[in-house]
Amino acid sequence: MRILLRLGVILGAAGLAWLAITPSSVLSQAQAAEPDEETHDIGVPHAGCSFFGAKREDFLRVGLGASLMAMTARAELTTLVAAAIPSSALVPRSRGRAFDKFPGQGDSIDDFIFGELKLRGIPPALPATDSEFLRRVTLDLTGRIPTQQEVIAFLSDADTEKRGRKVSELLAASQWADRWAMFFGDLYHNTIVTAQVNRYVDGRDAFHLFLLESLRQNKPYDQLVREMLASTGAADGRNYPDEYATYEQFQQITSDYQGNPVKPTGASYIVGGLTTGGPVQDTYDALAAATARDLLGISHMDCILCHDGRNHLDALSVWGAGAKRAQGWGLAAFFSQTRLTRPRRLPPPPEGQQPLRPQYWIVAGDERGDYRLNTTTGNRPARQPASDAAAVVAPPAYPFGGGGNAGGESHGEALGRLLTADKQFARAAVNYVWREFFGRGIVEPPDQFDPARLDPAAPPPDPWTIQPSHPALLEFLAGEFIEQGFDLQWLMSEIANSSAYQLSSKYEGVWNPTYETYFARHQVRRLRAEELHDALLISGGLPAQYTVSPAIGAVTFAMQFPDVQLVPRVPRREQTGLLGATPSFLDSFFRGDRDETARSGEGSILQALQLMNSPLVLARVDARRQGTALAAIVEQADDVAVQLLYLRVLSRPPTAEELSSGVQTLRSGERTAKAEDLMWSLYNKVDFIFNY
Amino acid sequence: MNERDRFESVLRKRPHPHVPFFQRPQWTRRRFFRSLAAGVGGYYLAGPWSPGLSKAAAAVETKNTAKQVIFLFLEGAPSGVDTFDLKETPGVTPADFAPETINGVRIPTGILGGTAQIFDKVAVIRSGSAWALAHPLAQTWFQIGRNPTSPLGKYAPHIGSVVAIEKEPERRPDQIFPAFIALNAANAPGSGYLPVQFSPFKTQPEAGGLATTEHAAGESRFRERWDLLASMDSVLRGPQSPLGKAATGMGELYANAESLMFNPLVAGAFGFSEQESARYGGSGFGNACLIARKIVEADQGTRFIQVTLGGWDHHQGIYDRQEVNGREVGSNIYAQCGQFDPAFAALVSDLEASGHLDETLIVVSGEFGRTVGPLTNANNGRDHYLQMFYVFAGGGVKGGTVIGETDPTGAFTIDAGWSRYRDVRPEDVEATIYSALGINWTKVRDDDPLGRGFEYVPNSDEDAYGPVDELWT
Repeated sequence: MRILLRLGVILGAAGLAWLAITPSSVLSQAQAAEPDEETHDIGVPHAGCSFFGAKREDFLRVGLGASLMAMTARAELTTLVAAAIPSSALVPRSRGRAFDKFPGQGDSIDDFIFGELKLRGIPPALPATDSEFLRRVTLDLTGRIPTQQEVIAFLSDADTEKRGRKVSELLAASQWADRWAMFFGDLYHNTIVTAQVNRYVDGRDAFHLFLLESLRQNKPYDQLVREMLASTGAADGRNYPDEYATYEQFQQITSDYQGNPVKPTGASYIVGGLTTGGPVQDTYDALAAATARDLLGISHMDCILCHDGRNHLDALSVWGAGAKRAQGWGLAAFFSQTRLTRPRRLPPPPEGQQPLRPQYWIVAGDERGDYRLNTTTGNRPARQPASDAAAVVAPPAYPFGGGGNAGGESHGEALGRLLTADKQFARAAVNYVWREFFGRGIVEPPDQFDPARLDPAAPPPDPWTIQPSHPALLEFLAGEFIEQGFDLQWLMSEIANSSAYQLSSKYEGVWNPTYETYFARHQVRRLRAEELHDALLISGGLPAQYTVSPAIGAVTFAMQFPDVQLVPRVPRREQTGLLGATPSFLDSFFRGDRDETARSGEGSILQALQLMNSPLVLARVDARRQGTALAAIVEQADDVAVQLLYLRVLSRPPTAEELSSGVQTLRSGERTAKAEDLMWSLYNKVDFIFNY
Repeated sequence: MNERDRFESVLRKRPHPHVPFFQRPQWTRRRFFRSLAAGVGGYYLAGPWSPGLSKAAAAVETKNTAKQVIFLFLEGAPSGVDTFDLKETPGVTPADFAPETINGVRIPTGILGGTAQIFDKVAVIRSGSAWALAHPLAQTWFQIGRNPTSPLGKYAPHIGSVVAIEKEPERRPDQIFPAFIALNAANAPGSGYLPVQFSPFKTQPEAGGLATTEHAAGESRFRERWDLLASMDSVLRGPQSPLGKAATGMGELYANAESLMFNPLVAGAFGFSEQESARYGGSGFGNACLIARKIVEADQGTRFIQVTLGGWDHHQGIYDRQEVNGREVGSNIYAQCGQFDPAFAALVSDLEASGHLDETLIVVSGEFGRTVGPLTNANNGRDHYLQMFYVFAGGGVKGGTVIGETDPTGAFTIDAGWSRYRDVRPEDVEATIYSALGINWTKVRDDDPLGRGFEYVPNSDEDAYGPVDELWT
């Protein structure tokens, strides 16, 4: 490890030296340097161990590490409710066949990323340490921090393949599906109420369950999207008659969640397009705009649906500048046989009862539906034929490469078939996913793809440049994603196992902001609202029980919420307790509303106030409170207690320096109070708040 | 061409035909009223941005008479004909509304008795009209001042966020409150594409003060913790953080947060006594208005305060008065006004007494109006309706003014009462707020994510909307 540090210094001093060293050789040196012959006594600081020092992984392996392992095995230190991680790890996938390469490029993420760095003479950061990697990959894949046991087990594992094994293990965990259901819920704007439409609790839940179930099965992503676009029926997946004979029947059917449960369906994606205050074409257009944005990463389609791109998008998109409104109509026409309805009429309620309103949408097909060019009012400019002789109906026509309804399929099925066969679909998907791991897309922002600026072999006219930072990598990943059957877990495994992803977030040399585009170091990000909440539970104990809805039931972790709006709902009597503190805590970390306001990773004063003062934090740093992890930790000897606090809160052992000053802190006053202060400080440290 | 024709022509040219049939001669408006049950909605504005237009502002004269705004948002849509555009319909209007003529205006003192006392400081616009009749759509519309369905509607900031970013340069170094505070407004839109720094600081009134600025373990304990944190994290959160830009700001963020804690200014502005609360009616809304007043008086850089009061959606039993222990309860106009009236009256008179009313524009509005005439047959309520009212006070607005006149039923405008000779739209209210604060409402920002140019008030290059200057005369 020391060799690595020295290497870093050398590299920092003479960046060009890098050119002589391939990335793989750096990594193999890192592994070769791993075993450290030095041993350490418990509690004795070792001078070489700085915060980002190379030795702390080894610290646990000897002496204290061993005793900690034994202790955690015997002691019930926690009331932690962490879902068990299935032991059945995914079988590592092979890389498959060779690909059509861009000249001089390779066939793995690392070849592209490090190739580009080498070409530009940008030295990359050093590889992340094991504990950095473990926390990072656990957060990115599952939205949780690793438990203390997981940290110890991973750090004390001598297997050189342990990082790959960890990735497989995390991909197979139920938490993986939770975290990515949250991601796709954001991407598809699945929320209960938007400015336009109320999906209702059950409709939102059914969509959430559809995403969750699909992820649990690792359903091919193209299949997921095809199912979503072709969804029909009640948007909450429940069974309803066309008409109700009596009011009692309506009440019985809608309130019986046992006999008539909410079932997974993507129909609420379609419901989200509902647009009021205009003709039905406004709804078709909204669905086309959402589809282009979410599934193709092309949000300029929304502009095209009002007017040709010329004189509007000239400065924004080469493709957009030449796009015609009729192309937008062609896409929107795929939704023209979709009807969004609610039951019109209910039997009257018994005397003296307020009538209930039906709280569900039906997505129905109507084969007679057309996209008619006959509007003069509404949310978008008039839709009229180009001339008297022109067609009055816009037929479904896929705007990127053509194609329509081939017969024997619904319009929704036709769109799903054409769209998922378009390579842009794969590009958009891998780019959205890539961004979650690297902090920025290969195309950034990921919803503003310009299809005319992707191919270096066909460059756009001056002064335009190629849009992706790594065009060949994007093509490679998209092509492989298709080749692998749109396997999201394959994609994430490929990313998480890459050395590019496993670079340190700390940079040894002089950082130039332009390096960011080239992924020369790992980009840190603030934990998301749900991740922070869950990290408090995992590290501090006091598991929560949030009752969400009839279909979702009760959950412990915020990452299991089906929505970001109005969850959790807190009963009045619990508003002063821990549960009551949760909504404002989550909101302060800008989880967005999946409608007007996007999730944001920005910082705010409110976040600092929450982390310093929220009952969610303060209750967990209360050693006298039953059920906190701290209550058990203060029973331990000083050095063990400090180690445990670091392991639990920061998912890493303390450096020697941190250990000795932590021990000193405990001895500097009333011990329990000092332990509380130490834990509080750890919760407010940058390396708790950030994924680094 | 008169103003109204010009407006229609602007909207036609935009090219969205915004003006619905019911906006034309009055009889069609009535037809619209009848067709409400069929679910006819509003018609919307969404002007595409013309190319080559300078991303600047037209030369306009703002009123610049207000330093800050308190926006009382009555969600659910209050009935106008029962409140600020009272229509006394025999056999319909309850006798206990006890209307009296004050400054020549009929006020239902039975439900707005406090407001009647300060009516000389209040201006009412009766020629208001919403664009949409669905709650979430119209609520968002009002708060962002534009059609949420328009392309930039999806990125548009809350009006309060625009005020916050515009007023940021005027912030003094000693001012520590957020620029935009939203009370009881959990669902208010955020800062849109503007930096989150300008998003609403959302909180609920609590007698003890701003909950997150209190440290349960006490101040001395907090200080110890703060020092320990500083000793442990100074490198990572410092200006040379090895983790880069994102972490570098953490030190400052925490310092700013810390300045709000154990701060008498914060405790004074966000906490209140039982006695103070009682004066504002003792409700959550009243407490929020009380805090709004204290925030204004604290002069700590807050320029936009929203207080939301939901529960005005009286489809059923709007007159079904219920009293329990002398308090109006239930879902009816009495209970709602029972919360609104004492709080509004105390807010206006207290700001007046402390000398802050002249510099504080108070705006009261729902997201649309409610049906007029007899109550609905089935439910004794009032349904959604476009005709609506707005109430203003302070901020240089002339009190005792009534702008616009509706027909004897309150169903439609017969005299718009202002220079544009048409109904006053949410966008006009938005322009009025900006003008009062000295913000050029025609400004176009060039930093929006679509590169279209973000107009503070939509279509302002064509002067489609503008402030209701008549409020000042």
